Amino acid sequence: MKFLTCIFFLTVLSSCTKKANSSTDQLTADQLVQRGKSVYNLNCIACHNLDPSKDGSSGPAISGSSKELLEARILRATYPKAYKPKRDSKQMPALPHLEKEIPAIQAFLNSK
Amino acid sequence: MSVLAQLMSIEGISFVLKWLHFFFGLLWIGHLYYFNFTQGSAMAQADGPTKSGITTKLLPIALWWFRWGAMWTLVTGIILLAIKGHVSGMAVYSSGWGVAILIGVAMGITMWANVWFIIWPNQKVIMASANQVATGGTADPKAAILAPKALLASRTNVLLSIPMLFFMGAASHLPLPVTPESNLYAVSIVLGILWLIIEGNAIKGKISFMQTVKGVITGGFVLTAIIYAVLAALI
Repeated sequence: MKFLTCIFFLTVLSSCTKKANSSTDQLTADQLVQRGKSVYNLNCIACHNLDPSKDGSSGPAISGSSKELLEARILRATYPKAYKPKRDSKQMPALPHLEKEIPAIQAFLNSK
Repeated sequence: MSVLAQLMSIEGISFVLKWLHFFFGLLWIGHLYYFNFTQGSAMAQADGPTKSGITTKLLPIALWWFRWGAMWTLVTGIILLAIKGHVSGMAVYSSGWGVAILIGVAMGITMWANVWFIIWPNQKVIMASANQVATGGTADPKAAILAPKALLASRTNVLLSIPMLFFMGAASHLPLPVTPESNLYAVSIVLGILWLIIEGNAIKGKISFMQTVKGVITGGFVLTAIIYAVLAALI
């Protein structure tokens, strides 16, 4: 048990030195779309379709989403005022760790 | 879409499989906790005839539900995983959902293997020996050697069950913050080493802190925190 506890504290300490995520500010338009695609594949395709213009296993098609909608869904798990949801399942949790990635996600979802 | 059509869609079939996966999982892990938390303590206090009755009459029935619960949990889980890959594409396995669910899957498959390749074969010898004694014969000396091995594998399964449940639940309900900078190779190497230590110990190690119920439960929560800290450091 002492061994396990030592590993735990060492790992917690190492996590404190983790580098911050890269900023999307310096990216070109194409790089922004590519980053958005990577972020989308890593975080969204368990529910949304790999092709965001099609419905996914439990999430609807989301290509063309506005920044306002993305911020509401990703940061607060809500919808913008007067927006009519495509589904009423309310399954999607907030994903606040993606705050800095919203410009890239928006670029990808509006790239086709 | 009608209710029946919804049930027969790929999402409906996935849901039914997930429901069965939970049912068989409860059947399996419920028995695992019964063996470790309840029966073990009761056996320590029981007299000879009671111990013999438990081993020859109760244990065969409980082990049947236990091992087939494990088998069908595995079967339904693999089908669910395959459907997810088919519907969402193979990239889903390297997503935040995929990382969390695969950590749970690795632990679940390890636990299934411990049931079918260590606990059950050893318990068959132990029960046969108890039956021989109950009918006036002598105990099989191998039973005394195999009993602690079965106990160690069983305790290891209790240890793994706690983070297994956390990460399977986290896949859909506590999203992992995966970004393009996340080092998923490092995650798999570190967790692979941790797995080798734990399963290596289950096969040829010592019971150590897992000897007591309190120790193994505490260990399960500490192990969950360790794995989560590894992810926090490398994702």
